[in-house]
Amino acid sequence: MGHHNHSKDKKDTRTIIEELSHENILKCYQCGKCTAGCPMAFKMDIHPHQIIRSLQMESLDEVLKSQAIWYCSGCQTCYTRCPQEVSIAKVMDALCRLSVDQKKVNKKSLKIKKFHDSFLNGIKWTGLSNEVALVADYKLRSKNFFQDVLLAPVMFFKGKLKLFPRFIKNTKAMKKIFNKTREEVR
Amino acid sequence: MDIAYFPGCSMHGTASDFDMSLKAVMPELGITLHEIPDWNCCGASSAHGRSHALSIALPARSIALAAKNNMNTMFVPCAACYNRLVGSHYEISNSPDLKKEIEGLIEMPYPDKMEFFHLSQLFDKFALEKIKSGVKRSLKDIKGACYYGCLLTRPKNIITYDDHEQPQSMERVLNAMNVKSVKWGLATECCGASFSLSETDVVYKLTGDIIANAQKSGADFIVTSCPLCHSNLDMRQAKIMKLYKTKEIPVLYLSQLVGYMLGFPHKQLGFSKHFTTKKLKELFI
Repeated sequence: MGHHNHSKDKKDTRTIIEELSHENILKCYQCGKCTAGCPMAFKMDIHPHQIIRSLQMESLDEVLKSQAIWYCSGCQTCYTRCPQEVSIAKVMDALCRLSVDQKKVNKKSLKIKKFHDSFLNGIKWTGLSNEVALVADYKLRSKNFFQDVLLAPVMFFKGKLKLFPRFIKNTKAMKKIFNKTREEVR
Repeated sequence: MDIAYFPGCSMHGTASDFDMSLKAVMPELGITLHEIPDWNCCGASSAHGRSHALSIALPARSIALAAKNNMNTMFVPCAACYNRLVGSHYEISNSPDLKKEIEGLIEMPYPDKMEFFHLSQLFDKFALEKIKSGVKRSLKDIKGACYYGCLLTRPKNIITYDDHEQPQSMERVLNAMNVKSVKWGLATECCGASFSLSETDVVYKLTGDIIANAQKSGADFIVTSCPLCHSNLDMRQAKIMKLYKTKEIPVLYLSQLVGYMLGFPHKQLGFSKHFTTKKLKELFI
């Protein structure tokens, strides 16, 4: 069942996705190579080729609420094998951004989103990803305090966990870049 | 030769062994690394899901800084950073509008020309002869599985060096050192990378499959050049062995393997920082 446009101003799904990702989903003829090669397909509630099909059939909402879009690892295997050269990975990115913007993020995928938030928050302030700060931030956001706790002391003694965060000199430049790209859903 | 160096954020933490081995080996091969002054994080796997412009601007700033320093070639050891830097440069180079937007965000001019090299690409193009003539050890019949990971050879129109399904640059480096390599099926499969903290079970499965396939193909060790892949393969291997009943297999960075073959003491190569060490000691120490 498709969602019909009731007003002339409302864009169709193909246009929305094309504006966000520069990808034309109408090119897909459902060969299935993307799903066949996708390393994360086994975790997805909707498979990559099915996502493209849903978008072609105007079922954007269902896709925005899926877990699948957050399980994309960005490995580019789909794009590399697609005979029509559709970058499904880029479409996935656009769907994630749109899903956040429309507040439709699947509850089960929130921890993945939170990881990315922790990562980006870290580099916004220091310009570099500091592993201890990242893990601490993520544990606070996800309330998952005990995972990997046994690895931490070993990592520390092997010199793989630096306690003091590192900063670039021009942290102002980082904040500028983040602030200027904050509003857009692009 | 002189080349700009983009270390990537993990060099000082989880990949400090990678860093050590690079600093040991590069001078020996006549390569001088010039770290880009005030480089910043490339945004890795998180930026492109938040904002397209952000994901391009973050790598672009470091590229512009390298150009400001009069460098137009860059060595990027981390596969994810390499993928982001090359990808951003490609997009900016193909869109004058995007270039304008990015220059506004980074407040610097963006260069037309910048050439990027990952580790096996750098060795393959500039150091094979020196590596060949500098070999001091022999691994006899011990075989390695060259693990590229998903980001060094894809997407195929943007990263044109090496075949995207069956890359051979690492094999060529091993060949130059008379180290045997295996033919195996998962050389470019994703290890689960950025899900290491948020969906660790996925990493166990994907990385477990990689380890199992390498061993089934007869490999005695795995060689890689991505910090996240190495961390998943090495640091998480103990759990994978419990879950999937795989045998222990040492995981080396390519620069560690080259350093070892060139005769460097293992203390300089960061072997002690590995988690999976029993087999490593047997074969390499």
